[in-house]
Amino acid sequence: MSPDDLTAFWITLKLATITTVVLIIIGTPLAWWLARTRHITRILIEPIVALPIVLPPTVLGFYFLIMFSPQNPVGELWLSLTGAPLAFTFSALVIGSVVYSLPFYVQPLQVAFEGLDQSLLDTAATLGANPIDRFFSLAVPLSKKGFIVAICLAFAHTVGEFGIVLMIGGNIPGETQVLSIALFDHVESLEFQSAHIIAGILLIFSFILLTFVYSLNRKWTIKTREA
Amino acid sequence: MDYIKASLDVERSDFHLNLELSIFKGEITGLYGPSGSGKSSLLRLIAGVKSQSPQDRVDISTNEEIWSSADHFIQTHLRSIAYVFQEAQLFPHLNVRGNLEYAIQRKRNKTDVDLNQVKQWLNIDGLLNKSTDDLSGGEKQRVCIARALLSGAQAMLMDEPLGALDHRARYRILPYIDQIHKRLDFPFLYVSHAIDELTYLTDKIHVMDKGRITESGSTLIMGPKLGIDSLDASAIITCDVDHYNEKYQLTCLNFESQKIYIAGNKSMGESLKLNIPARDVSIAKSLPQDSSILNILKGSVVAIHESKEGSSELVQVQVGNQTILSRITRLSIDKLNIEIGLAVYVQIKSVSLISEYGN
Repeated sequence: MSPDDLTAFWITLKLATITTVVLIIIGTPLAWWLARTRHITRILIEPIVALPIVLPPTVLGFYFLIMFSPQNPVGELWLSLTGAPLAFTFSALVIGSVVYSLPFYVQPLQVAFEGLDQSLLDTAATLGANPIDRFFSLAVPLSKKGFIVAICLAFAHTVGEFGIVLMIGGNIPGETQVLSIALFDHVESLEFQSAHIIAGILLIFSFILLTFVYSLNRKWTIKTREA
Repeated sequence: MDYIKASLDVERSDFHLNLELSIFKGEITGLYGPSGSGKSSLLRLIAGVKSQSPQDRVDISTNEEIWSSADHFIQTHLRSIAYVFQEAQLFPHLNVRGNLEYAIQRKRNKTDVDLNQVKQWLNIDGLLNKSTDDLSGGEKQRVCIARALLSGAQAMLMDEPLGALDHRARYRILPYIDQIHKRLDFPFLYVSHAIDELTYLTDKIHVMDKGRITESGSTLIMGPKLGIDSLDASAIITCDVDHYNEKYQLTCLNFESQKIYIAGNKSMGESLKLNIPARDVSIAKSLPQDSSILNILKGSVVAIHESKEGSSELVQVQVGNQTILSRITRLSIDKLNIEIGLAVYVQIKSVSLISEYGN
């Protein structure tokens, strides 16, 4: 692996980690809200969250690019706050990745939250637990599997993104060049040796992660069958 | 807390709850009714775990504070209420001790109840380190009751807590619940459609039907009345242990100065509660001389409860200060000319022991 590829590897890891952490912070309350609300706005929020599943990443990337430009309010605000434009930076990648991986984090978690036994939460309330306490002391541990699946999928999906990164990251080595793009570069320049290494790493990583996720589900099915 | 008062008018597509109910300390208030009569909804509204809509009228207050009114709502976790559901709601990610500690950590009031006492009252000492999966139905429910008591509650709501258990397990837990009531003097509402449970535990019974309270009265009167159409109508009596007859392996009990024999040596306790099914009790006008039945008691008829359907009626016979129920046919009643005030002998074919507290 060349030093540039190694840098791309670390950037990919950093991007996926930061994105996953941000998703845990904002995606968890969103999943909780979606799982429990009967509010009318849900019929709009739910498809918005799911959009990245069906949209070509380039479409999202295109709109982000426009949004990040200093001529637009978001880009302008960023420029005035940080003194540098937002587009083609690592921060831009994080914002794009968070939106792009949002459904992969929110949906498994929402399913887990929806499967919670309401009477257990009611019982906790009668034992003196306030709503936030009930969430952390009951909903979180009982949805442990949902959290693990959501975190794995969000992380893996961020590692695997390409189109949106290309649009808003600009392929700057050491700043925004991630593995999937480094791979594309190697293929473009007919460097198949390097391409093989990266492709192999990504393939094995994804396979191991998915095997882990599916093994969680299998354990769970066997347990319910016994019960 | 001295009392809880509820006045409700809640209408949904499938039911209409419209009633007033007061639960006072010092007694167990029973709530009886068929499933779908709104009993659980009532309890859930009192506890504040049922969602309310603006057009509902839900006035709930205690002598200390208002829990719910037109412009006021106190959330469940701030109401000092213990709630035991029909299905034992133990937290599956915690073991028994963890479940109890969950309540202790969130205790709302300084009460005298501590873990050591509750462990002893409900006989759960040996269960503390077990996983909730390893408990029997009855053990689960005892842990649920213990947990509810440890939360610093000032009132108790029980929604058919023994509904999921078999006959034997039910009779094993009833004395524990009775014991708790005796030790903790707070408002206590017990919901059940099992008349024997209500007869055993409660002092007062409200009958609910289609969201309304249709009848109320003391358990002494309401118990037999409700039992008429129930096949398992039974009397629950309290006896003192007299002695154990080793030769015949029978325990002789003293019941209102008369004798009752039960099988086996039950002489370890001082007083026992027995369940006598009405269908196992017959009536004679004179003392049967050559009967194989051991338990024959003298009493007088205080009430004849007519059943709406079927050929049998329920005769309530007073023996001392307690009553025994007998289900006999209308034909026998006419033949023997049974009427209120008549002195009769009741022959008891079977009794079952409701296990003593601690056993």
